Amino acid sequence: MSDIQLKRIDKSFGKVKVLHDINMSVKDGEFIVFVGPSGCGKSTLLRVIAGLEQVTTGELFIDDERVNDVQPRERGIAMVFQSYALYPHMTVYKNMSFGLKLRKYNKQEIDKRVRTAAETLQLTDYLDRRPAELSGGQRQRVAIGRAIVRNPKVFLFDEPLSNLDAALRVKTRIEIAKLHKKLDATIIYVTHDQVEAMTLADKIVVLNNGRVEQVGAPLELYNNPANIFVAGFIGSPKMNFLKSTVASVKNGAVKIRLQDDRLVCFAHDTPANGNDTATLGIRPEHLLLSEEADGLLKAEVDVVERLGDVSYLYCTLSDGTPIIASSPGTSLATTGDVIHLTARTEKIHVFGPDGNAWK
Amino acid sequence: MSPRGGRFARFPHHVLVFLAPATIIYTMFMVYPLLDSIRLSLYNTDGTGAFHFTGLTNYIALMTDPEWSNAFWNALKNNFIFFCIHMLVQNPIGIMLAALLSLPKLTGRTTYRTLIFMPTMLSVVIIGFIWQLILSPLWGVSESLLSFIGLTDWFQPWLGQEGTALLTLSLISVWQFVGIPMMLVYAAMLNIPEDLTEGAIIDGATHWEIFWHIKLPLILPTIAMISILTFVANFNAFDLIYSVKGALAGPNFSTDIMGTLFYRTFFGFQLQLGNPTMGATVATMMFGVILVGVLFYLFVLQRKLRRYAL
Repeated sequence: MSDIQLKRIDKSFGKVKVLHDINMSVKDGEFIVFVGPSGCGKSTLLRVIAGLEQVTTGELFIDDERVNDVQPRERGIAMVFQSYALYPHMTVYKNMSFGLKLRKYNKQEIDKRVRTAAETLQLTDYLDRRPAELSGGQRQRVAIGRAIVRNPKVFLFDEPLSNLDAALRVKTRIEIAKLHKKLDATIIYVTHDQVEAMTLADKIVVLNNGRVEQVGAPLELYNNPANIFVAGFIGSPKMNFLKSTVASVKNGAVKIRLQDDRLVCFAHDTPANGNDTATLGIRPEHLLLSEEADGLLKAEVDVVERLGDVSYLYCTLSDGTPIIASSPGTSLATTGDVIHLTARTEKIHVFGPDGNAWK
Repeated sequence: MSPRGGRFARFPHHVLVFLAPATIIYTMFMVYPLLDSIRLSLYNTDGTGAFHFTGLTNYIALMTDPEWSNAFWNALKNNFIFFCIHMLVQNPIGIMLAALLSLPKLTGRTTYRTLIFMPTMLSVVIIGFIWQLILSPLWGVSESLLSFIGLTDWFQPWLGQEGTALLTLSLISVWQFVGIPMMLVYAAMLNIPEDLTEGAIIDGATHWEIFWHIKLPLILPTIAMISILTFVANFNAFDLIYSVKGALAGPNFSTDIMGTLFYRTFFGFQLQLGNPTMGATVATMMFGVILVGVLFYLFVLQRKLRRYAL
């Protein structure tokens, strides 16, 4: 049992409030990812859970025990830092055993745990080396090993992959996912990379400006973003946003006017008014090339990125809005072409003037 | 050897031009005087003022002739005591102050830092004068300060007793210079990334354990450097003793160190005439002691202690 509950958490540094009313619960064994742009408060939230920062108001529970005033070492957590924070004067073995030694475990127990962890992480050959003699990926694994040996209730990862190169990042990402399965541990993971968030998480928490924008499973956020911020943050390439106006509202059916007076119609019970502004969101992968007659958008291709299986068409609409469309790798579109794009109505997201999703 | 490719054929002569100013100045003002005073220590003067080469006679006299050796061994012993008190009091306190200053949550950090460093910036003469006044049994404040806490009986004229004068002077010097190890260690501790201490906190370490297991091993090279600086400064010390106790380093030479011994020997003072050759001998002995210390630092300490990339 390692449930974590955050109730109305606020955090201020002096006069600057960085976390606003965070409510969340993490179930035992869940892999939670905090994601958001830099400065959104995700690392601060992690440090609050770790106990490295005090909450200003609100309550934090781990296993139904209120831990607001509990020291980090008594919270049963382990943390992996972005910089790894390995002790440079200690060997890998000592780095991993340090926490156990402080807790006065006996030597055989320490040795057993360190060797098991080293085996899991393929570090057995490096136990006598110092951090300076290891590669970035190995240091990363030592940092994880230092967390594993303590057998904590909760693992906290603070952007653990951001110091690795792209190839290693993908590899380590998969290793962390495997580790989660193997240890069956509760993991809270902070990243600014939405791909990491999508691939690792059971549940993603999207943060922006110290507020939780949306909490949900990866595909839930992808399919039903609650607002423009989440819609734009999740998914790569980014969702296209088109400014538009409400043309008419009749019997729960809303008509939205796009460029060239084309209309999109959908059922919605929000009491929208005519001439309200609305934002349409369409993901690049949901835009389809079409004939002029069925087209929703008319665009001129600026740049084509051919990735083999898929080609991204960077286009400009007649009103100057840039959009991205993904087309099959076999697409023949080239720079300067005028293309017509459409999308299935159910794939189109609509956001009201306040940025919240209507659909 | 080919005319162009040889190692010596292409010696870049212009570097000599760049090396010359420093080499010349350093030689004129450091190397030459040093060598010349070593040379002087091998001579003796007669009544007419003429110099005669006498080899190591001066050294033998300094170490074995009771007329000289009593003073010499006394000064050397006192100097070692002076140094040991600094090592045992000044440096540990400096390190502890630095550790306290680098605690994550401390208000008034800069104020403490400035106040503790203040005495270091004052002249030794002023420090000596102030403490002489404070500790004076006639008009000093220490006796009345002690009486406030009911310890009047504890007061003694510490600077005037043979048994306590050297210790008192050492502690005055410690009080003045404790800011230097503090600053150096504090700077070294600031270099230790915060993640490292936070990692240790998560690992379950208390502040004391973090200091002992993480910070201290990482600042060992700085501590070695402070030790050698203390060693050199202590064996070259002179000013504090001279300003408080005069060149006779009383009472009864109990505060005599190498610096004051050298001063009396070379320039002469009240009881004795100046003796340049014997003075040069004392100076060379001081140089020798410091040289041994510095070589120990360079070849033993510095090679054993690793600096870790943080």
